[in-house]
Amino acid sequence: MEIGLTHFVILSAVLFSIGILGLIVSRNIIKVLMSIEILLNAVNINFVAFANYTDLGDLKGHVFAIFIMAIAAAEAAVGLALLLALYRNKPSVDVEDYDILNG
Amino acid sequence: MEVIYSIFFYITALTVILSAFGVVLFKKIVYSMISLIVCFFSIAGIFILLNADFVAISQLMIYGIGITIIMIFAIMMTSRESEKKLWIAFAPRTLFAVLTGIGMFALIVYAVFGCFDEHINCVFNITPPEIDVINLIRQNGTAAIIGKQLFTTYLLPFELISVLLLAAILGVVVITKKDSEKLVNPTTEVLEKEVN
Amino acid sequence: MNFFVENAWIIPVMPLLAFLTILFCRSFKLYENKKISMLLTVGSTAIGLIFSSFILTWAAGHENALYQQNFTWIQVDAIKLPIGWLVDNLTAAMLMVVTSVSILIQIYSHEYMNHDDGYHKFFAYLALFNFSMLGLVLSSNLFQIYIFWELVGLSSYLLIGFWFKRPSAASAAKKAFIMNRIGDFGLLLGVVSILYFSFDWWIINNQPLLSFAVFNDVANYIFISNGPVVISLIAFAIFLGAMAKSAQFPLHTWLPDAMEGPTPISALIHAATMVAAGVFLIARTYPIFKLSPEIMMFMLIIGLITAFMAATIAIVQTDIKKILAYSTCSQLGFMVMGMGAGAYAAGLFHLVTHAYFKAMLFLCSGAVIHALADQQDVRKMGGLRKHMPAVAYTYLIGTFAISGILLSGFWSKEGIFMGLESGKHWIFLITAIIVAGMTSFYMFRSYFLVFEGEYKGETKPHMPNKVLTIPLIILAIPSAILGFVLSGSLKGFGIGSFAKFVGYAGEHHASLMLPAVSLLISLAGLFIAAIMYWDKAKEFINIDPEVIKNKFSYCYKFLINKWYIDDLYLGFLRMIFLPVARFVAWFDRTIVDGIVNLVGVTVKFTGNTLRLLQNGNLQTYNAILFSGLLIYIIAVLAYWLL
Repeated sequence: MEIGLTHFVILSAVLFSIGILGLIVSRNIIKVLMSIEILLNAVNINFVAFANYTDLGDLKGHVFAIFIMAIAAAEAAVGLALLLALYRNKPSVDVEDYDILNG
Repeated sequence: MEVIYSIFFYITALTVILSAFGVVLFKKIVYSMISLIVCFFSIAGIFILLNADFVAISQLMIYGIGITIIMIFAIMMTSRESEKKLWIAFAPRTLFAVLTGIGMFALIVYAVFGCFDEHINCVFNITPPEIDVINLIRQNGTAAIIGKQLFTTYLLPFELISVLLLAAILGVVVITKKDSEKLVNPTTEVLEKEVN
Repeated sequence: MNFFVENAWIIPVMPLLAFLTILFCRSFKLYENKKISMLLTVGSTAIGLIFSSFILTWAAGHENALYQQNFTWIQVDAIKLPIGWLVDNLTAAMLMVVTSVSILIQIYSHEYMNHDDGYHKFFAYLALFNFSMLGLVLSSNLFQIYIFWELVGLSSYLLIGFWFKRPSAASAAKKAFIMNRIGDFGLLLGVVSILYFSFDWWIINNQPLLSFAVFNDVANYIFISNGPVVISLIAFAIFLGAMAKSAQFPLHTWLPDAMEGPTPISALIHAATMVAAGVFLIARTYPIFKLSPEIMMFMLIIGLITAFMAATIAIVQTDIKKILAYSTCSQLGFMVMGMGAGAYAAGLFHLVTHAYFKAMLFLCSGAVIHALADQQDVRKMGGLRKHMPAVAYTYLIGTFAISGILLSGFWSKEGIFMGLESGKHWIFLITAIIVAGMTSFYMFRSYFLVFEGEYKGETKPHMPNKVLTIPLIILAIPSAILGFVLSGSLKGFGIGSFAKFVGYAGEHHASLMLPAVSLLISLAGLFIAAIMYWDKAKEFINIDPEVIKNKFSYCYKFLINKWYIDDLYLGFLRMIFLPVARFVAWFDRTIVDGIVNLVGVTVKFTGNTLRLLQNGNLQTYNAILFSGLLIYIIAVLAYWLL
């Protein structure tokens, strides 16, 4: 079958679902952050796919994808910095250990 | 032509999906890190399939190199010998996550396969772009077009992103500063003792 | 003369001011002298008496005298409730009766209550009652009468329970008030129904709402536009109010228990004035009753039952105040019978004469009780004529009056009998004459037991004060001669001038048979009482009351237990009412409150459950977030697609 926009969108959907799964299911915080990166990548694929099939003149999708990448990088850096700060107080990367803000 | 394209697409797509599953499902964190690298590279391949050369290279640089280094440093700094291998939480939220995942996927598939026909002019029944436009892009590359967009239409977000990155750098520095000497943190003491 | 009629509002307002003054001053203990309270109250009543006499002369002088003045009190959209006063012949007569009896009783109670701690309170309550009763009599519309009706009920409650530290007095006060409330419910229904069914008429004719002056037209309008059933229901509702206030069967049991109050109160409220308010109400709303023959028959039956029952119970009573109380009940039955038979004027005439002689009888009994240091049992009295001749002779005059032997009671009862005869209610007539005979019997029985024979008590009776006896003598005068005066001449039997005065010229019968028969039966009652209780007559024929009591022991038991009506009510309350009330209370507590509590419990439970979601785990929150997002998208999609 000819590869069309549909395929790329489905691929993006699959990646998105895997990202959500990883986000919620993992017990290691670093794995959670990695799953967030997967999520963002899925969205990137989606944007670029649409740009390729509808908007080859202006390529707005590509521009947006670049922005997303920049933001994702910044967010990953800050997230891991926070993780390090938390790690200093409680030397554990287990998500279950960080439940003080409960009730 | 199409066949080759399809083959490449299916292989790359499979790699992406398998490595994504690998990120989630490996017990050792380093393995899932490697999986993530593979995933990033595969996504770059997808981008190339989509005629997005600039974006593919950016993906390789930012994600494949930058994020990877950050993650590896984080894993290095936060893993200790005696730690148990943390895999999956067996809690009610797991079920919700699986269901949500399947649900999202089902929803998007449903949307894609033309079930919206009566209601939207289906965006999905789209023909591939004309060959000459593609050839033009293949010749010149997408960088010029993206550059033109960035500096005219999307100038403001561009500038704001630079501010954002500055804020991120400053934030990271501030957050990871060491505590002052007077405040004694029992954990840091323990770590320092271990290291010593 | 017109000044007094136009300013008739002063008559009730003066006692109100007296009440408020005594209340205010005594709350801050501004004075201690008893004379001040008495002078305030008696003074306000005296002003009322002066005004009433002038109003009476004005009314007697005018043909169809009517004066009313109204102010709009409450106004809601089209409903303008008026307040004001109406002066016509009926009002003038009632005003005279109320003020004159009131002032004499107030003077009497100065001496009677002189050694009581609650002297000032007593006079304050007396002033309040005066205000309420005079307001009731002067009311110009049905709504206002309802207000004063309730006020009179309140005054009665306060005064019956005057010695509230006695549990029997407190219970009696409660009983009176609650039974009156049952009647008030009927009256309220009646008032509201009249307004509802005749509202258009009031708007069209632009009269002050529910005014008595145009009641005839209103009653006709309701009858024509809504039919006889509605009129009967309204009449029944209003009669319910009169039943409770005037102590008719089945709402009569509060009256004998009301004797727990001081004797002046029994005289004022439960003999002369308040119990007459029911009959007064019937008189005011008489156009409605006239249009409903069923209710008139109902009134006849109830009146007859009351009269007969109370008379039979009075025969066996041993407390002097209870004898008088049951006789009041019986005479009220007569009045209601008169009203029911259509003898409007006769009923009112009996009300007037009854007020005077019953008040006097009660005051005499009060003098006796006072003299014997609060001893009320008739079996321990006797031969008191030697010690207090004035009291004895006035009591004798009263007894003649009530028995219907030539003094005022005779004329008024005549009127009622003639009304019954002209309506061809033969059974009622015969039973009424028999009841008159019984009245004569038990009244003379009480006279002979108290004032004749040997003194059977322990304490030495002391002479009553002049302040006690002078009101008695003054009251004896109208008791004796009012009948002659108001009947017109001695020749034609009838209640000529009073009837003309009150507005209903009844039919005159020239036959002498009816008066002769009733006179004979009353004399027979006297005779039987004499031979049972008077030593002097026992020398001729001797019938021992004890023997009769033993012979008819079942009958006696039935009567001494007041026909078991009180027990019936108590049984009803205990068996039926109390379980229902308990069930309703349980329902309210458990189910109604339970539902309210359930809301609170649900909130708490939900909160407690939802709290478990906040387990501090970031991923839980994320799970909820994504699930929620999914559900939301599906919902929007479904709405959009369908």
